[in-house]
Amino acid sequence: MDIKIAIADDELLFRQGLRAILSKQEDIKILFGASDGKDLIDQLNEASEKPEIIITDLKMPEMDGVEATKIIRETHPDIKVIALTSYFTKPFIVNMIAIGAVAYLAKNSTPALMVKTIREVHAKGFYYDEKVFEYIKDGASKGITNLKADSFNGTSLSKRELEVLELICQQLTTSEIGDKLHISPRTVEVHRNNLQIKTGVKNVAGLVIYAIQHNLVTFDKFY
Amino acid sequence: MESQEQLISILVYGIVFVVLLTTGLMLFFYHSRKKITEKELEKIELKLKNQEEILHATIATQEEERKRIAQDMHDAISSKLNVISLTTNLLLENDEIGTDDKKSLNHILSINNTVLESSRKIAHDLLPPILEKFGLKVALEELLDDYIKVSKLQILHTIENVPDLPDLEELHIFRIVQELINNALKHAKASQLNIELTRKINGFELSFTDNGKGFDPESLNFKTGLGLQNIKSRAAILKCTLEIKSSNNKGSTFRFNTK
Repeated sequence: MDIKIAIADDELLFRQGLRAILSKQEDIKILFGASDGKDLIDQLNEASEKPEIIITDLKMPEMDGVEATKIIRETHPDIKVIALTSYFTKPFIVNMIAIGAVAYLAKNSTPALMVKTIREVHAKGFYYDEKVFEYIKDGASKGITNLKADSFNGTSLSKRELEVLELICQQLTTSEIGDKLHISPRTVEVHRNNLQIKTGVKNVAGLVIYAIQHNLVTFDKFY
Repeated sequence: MESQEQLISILVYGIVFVVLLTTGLMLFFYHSRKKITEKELEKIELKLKNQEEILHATIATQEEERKRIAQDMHDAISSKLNVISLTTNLLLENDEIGTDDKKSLNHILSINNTVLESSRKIAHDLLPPILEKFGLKVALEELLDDYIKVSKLQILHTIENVPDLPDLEELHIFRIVQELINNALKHAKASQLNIELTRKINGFELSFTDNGKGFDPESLNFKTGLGLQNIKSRAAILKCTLEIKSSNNKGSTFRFNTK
């Protein structure tokens, strides 16, 4: 099954280069490319076949990637957004993740990392590297990431749910979590859904941020 | 006898006339002198005002230019360097390329990444994108974090959100703090800073304290220093009062208050 992708970047040459790299992968299919946020939203609304993952630049004319991501989170909550940018600094990363991006890539990342990020996002719903984790944790302590559902303190999570949450944070897939806890992937999914309902977050990436912000998982276990 | 009386009255009239004349003349001279000094004072004031305006205009132009260059750095240089990085990576994935060529390509890639980082740094120094995007509070905290990371400086800070500040005023406050930290590090050799930005009903208060060498605020050397001139001009643009307290070996305090 192909991973369906759309790309938004105002630099045509960069879009072409990224297309060339990604189209070499047999499991990745690029549906369309957009030149700015507005173009992206327009094409997304018109497309008969919707992408599963959108890779978007942050700084673009007309509408930037931040605004576009906000809109996509509302209109197409199932689509996962990967932020691709030259601003690899804390406030930008933390802000983008708070808005709902599920991964953050520097524009000069290696193709291997780009492909890996896409596959991880497709399989697990998010992909944060060590640095991004650190920023989320730091941002949480300073109150930059103001995600909703802060009233919840995590005590009403069951022991099993906490175990599942911890394994999600270790970036394991649903079936890997099932194997580890000796339960079926379906049961893992039920726990994950319950976690999302209880914490009030929209996706797996939100669960991870939630877990870090509420100190529900120990940080050194990630790596 | 009559002629003697006549002579006396002529004399009296003469004296009165002379007295009146001198008083008149004195009054006239005094008045015109006063007018001249007033005019001169006005001239000096006008000159000062002009100079101040020129200084403010210079700062404004300087900031506009910085912004333009930072923008160009990003649009014309960084984004193209990203394309070079991507294309080189694409070439590297080609299996037909020999080891020597791959080595050269990797060399290009590593140089490209260094240039990309320099270009990002230059643009960042010219105008931090964080300030434009996330405002003064986040930008200042990021600036202080950077200093804490790269230097041994201890910085205590409380930065409050000051709402309704125009972008340009945020930029001036940011530059003032930047300049003060640079001074504290370079000249005062301080090891500890305390920075507070508090919101006030009519604006804000910024206080900056260091534990450095200190200086005599009255000394000519200090008064004419370019860095302080710049800070003063920005304070004037911000319509702030600036209070400076410092003495040798006792650190310095700068306090800015919206008038």
